[in-house]
Amino acid sequence: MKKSPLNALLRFFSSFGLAIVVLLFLFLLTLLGTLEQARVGLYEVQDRYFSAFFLVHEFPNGLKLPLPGVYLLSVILSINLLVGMFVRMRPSWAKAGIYVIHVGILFMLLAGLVTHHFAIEGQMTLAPDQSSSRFSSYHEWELVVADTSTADHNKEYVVPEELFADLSRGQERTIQSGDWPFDVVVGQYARNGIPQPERSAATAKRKIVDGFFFEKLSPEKENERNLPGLYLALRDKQSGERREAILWGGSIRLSDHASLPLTVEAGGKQWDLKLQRRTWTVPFTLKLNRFIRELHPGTSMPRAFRSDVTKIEGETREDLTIKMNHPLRHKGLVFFQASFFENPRTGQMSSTFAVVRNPADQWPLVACIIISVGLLTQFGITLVRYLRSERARQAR
Amino acid sequence: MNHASRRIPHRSYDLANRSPFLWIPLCTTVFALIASCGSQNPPVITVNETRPAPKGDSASDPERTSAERFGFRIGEAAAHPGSGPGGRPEPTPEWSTPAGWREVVPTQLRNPNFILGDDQAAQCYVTTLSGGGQLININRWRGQMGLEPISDAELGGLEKIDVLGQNVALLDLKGSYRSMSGSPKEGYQLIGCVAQLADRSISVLMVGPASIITTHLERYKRFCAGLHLHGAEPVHSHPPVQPQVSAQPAPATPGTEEAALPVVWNVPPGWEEASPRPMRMVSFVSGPEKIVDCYISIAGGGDVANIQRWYRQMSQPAPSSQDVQGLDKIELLGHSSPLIEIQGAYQGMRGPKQEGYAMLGTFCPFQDQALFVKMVGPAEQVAAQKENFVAFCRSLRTI
Repeated sequence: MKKSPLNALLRFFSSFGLAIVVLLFLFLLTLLGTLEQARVGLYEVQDRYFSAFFLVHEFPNGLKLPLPGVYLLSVILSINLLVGMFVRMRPSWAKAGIYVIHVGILFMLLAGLVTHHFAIEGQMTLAPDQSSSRFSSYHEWELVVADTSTADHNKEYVVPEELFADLSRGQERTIQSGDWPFDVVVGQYARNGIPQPERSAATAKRKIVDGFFFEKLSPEKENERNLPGLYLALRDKQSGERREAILWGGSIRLSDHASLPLTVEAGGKQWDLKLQRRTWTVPFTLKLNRFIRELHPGTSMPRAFRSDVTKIEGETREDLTIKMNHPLRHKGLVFFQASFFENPRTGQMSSTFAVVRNPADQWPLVACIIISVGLLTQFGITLVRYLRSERARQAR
Repeated sequence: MNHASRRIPHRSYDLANRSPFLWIPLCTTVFALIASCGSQNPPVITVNETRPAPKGDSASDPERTSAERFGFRIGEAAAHPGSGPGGRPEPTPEWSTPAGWREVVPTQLRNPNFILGDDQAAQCYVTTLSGGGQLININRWRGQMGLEPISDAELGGLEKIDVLGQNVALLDLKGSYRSMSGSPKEGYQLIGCVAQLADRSISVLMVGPASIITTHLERYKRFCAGLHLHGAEPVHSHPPVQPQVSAQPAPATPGTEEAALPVVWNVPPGWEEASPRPMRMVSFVSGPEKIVDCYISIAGGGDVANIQRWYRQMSQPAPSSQDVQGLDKIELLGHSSPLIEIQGAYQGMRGPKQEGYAMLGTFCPFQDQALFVKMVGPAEQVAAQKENFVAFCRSLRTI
């Protein structure tokens, strides 16, 4: 191999040293992330340590250590495996198993990449006899604008949180649609907060809207508990007149997917605006017939959960059971039996399903099979070679 | 991964491999540049994501205020005169929120309702109850802290604090706190006081981790001193009312959210629990359009007075107490209670009069007041729900 910059780069990326450094960093980040989880919570750690290119870890004594993130390390490890496979290893049938193992590991890393970027995850909670074709995110939020002026209104305009989550105090962004008689100017987004009545003591320098200001709170360790809020102004497209309001994710909930909206009249129509958990629709309806919880005898410890459901798809109805380790898989969606809720007042049991749509859902399984095949192949090749050599030795 | 190969010539371990400090920063910079190339949101965004709206989920109301959206029903009682016991306007608490306290959504038994700082474990709230009394509340709080009840004489030895024009005992306890739900919480502090008025007791409770509560004690005292009732009759300071209490520890029913629900029930099929409403313990909607409204409430003011008010709401002449006694009976919390059925034009607290409506209702004595179960809706839909209503009433039981 000639000493060109390209070859030097290839040798660097195919080197054992790089692989070992990356694996050591992954070990260190797993350790630090696990320790940090106790302080800031799981979601924050995943975001800061595992989804990031870089991070700065702060030790309890205040010492700050810059580190590569797991995302970056995973990319480098993938390159290392890929380049190593072609640069370091000479093509040979004797190494067929090792090639297959490399492919399996790369496929596993690719599954992680696809999951990170394209998977969505949420939950659907159903009471007995209740049905739904929507599920909502644990962590993501959205601004929804809906025309409700007619009884058969059927369209919601969705603005995902990432389009305004970066707006801190003093920043604004205009959101518009050709169908709206107004522009929505959003600003001062806070990941967690609470509306405070004007009578509160801390009103100085606060922007008061309709008797309230929005007070930012420190994020909760359990990210699901955070309730975001923002200020918005509806700017009439014709007159330029502004109507200001605060939207809060904690507005009284009517159902799993609806909260009390801000209703405005503009352009001869009635519009609802609300800040709610990111919601997705599924191409069928799930109805809960009954939820069954079995307890260990004489204890309140659950032994098993089971939900008897009906999957309704057009005119087709199919009765199914979702239970622990037996999810419902249909049309790229997976419904897991996640938890339940017992109304302390009525004793009614509701069932909660974790809903996942992940294009790489089964890829880790495929990767494991590939790796297993690779290992078996390589062990087989080695065994055959050993037996042959032994036979040859005995023949001599 | 078998990078080890005896066939790899030694020369491959050249500068590139021996100088990772050269390549690592270089590659890191490249990756950082790639990572930072993420798109920044432009100042104007056009919405391009739409989806079908859920049917029947709209809760549009152009008249809805921010206070209603956020659950702060400011001045609601004052806006509905006649909603208090005996038809009097319900006095509403007024206060000045101390610095560092954050007001959160009030509930039936927490109004106003605060969290202290960012820590939601530390709370302070005001509870208004008909009946009760200072010693009962204080012994209930002591029970929550795992302490024995005290006598009236011992109550007199506690530190005093001004609240609602009265100089009352201030309870300050530290230790293990047990609410109605959950396991005991160690290292907690509970501070509380109770003002006994003519027809109600008003308690101010602050509870949470001792490290936080201690720092809020002075603010608590200032809050109590500034608390007053708008629309209430003048309060005259008087010695604490001596309630009739047994020597047994008071049941652990704190002035918490759980205490608002001293009964449980079975929900009939087709009924759905509705969003919380003021003055109601719980509400349900039923019927094909979910407009049949059924709820439980606890109120004073006298059974007959409340029932006569129901008849007035249905635009019907009020019955006498003898008429009420002659009605059919159903079982409610162990009592044989009259089942009231009224048909007519319903006039609620708000909205237009609605013709062709019916009301089902019943009541029974509950604690020092009365528990009411009431259903209102279009007459034919109420008739269809009558069986469920009776089953619902029979299912009620105390906890």
